Amino acid sequence: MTKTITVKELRENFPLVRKQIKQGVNFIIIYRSRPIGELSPIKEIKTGLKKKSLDVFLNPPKNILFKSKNSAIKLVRNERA
Amino acid sequence: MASYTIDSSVFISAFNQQDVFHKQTKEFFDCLGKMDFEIILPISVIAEVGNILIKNRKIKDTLIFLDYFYEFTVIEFNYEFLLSAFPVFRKFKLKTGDILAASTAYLYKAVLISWDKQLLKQSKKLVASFTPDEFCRQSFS
Repeated sequence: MTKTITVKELRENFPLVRKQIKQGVNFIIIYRSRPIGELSPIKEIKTGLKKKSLDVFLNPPKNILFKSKNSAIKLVRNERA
Repeated sequence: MASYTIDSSVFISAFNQQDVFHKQTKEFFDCLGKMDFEIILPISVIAEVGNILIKNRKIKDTLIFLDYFYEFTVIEFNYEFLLSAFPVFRKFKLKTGDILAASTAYLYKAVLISWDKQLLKQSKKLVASFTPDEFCRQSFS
């Protein structure tokens, strides 16, 4: 996910920005209404996050699982009908 | 590093315990986890999966799933995307939900993964497209 942030916002909210970078968020830095650079997590962290997020689909938490006699294909087709 | 666009049918299959492909979908995510990959998702996939989950689960439970998806690269449909996508739309003969998934894969040079053979039949003309089990067989054969 990529967000934009002004230099002023970055200065005033750095702890929050640092936390989000750690979670895999990329930032485009805006200075005087123009993008001047990017802040992004180091690759190892990003890859680790992606692998971790796949585990959720491998073993989804019980509160997100459901039972439907309709197949996934049919459920999606109904949304696209 | 290879990029993959995963269609809604794969995610829904992972969440629907009675889905005929539920076990194979788990195997697919297991296969994918062994590789170096990037997942590129059109925001329409997240909206579709969310809408289906909301019909089957409580809203507060459904909100949790959003965080999982935003760890991937999410493609939003802004002016720039549509400018590139409209010429691609002409190349596929698909409904809007299908075409957004296929166009995202095409524009971001990603492999499209779906359980929906109707979608794959059309998308294969322009994008590498596989069902999850085909993908696993091909990757580890």
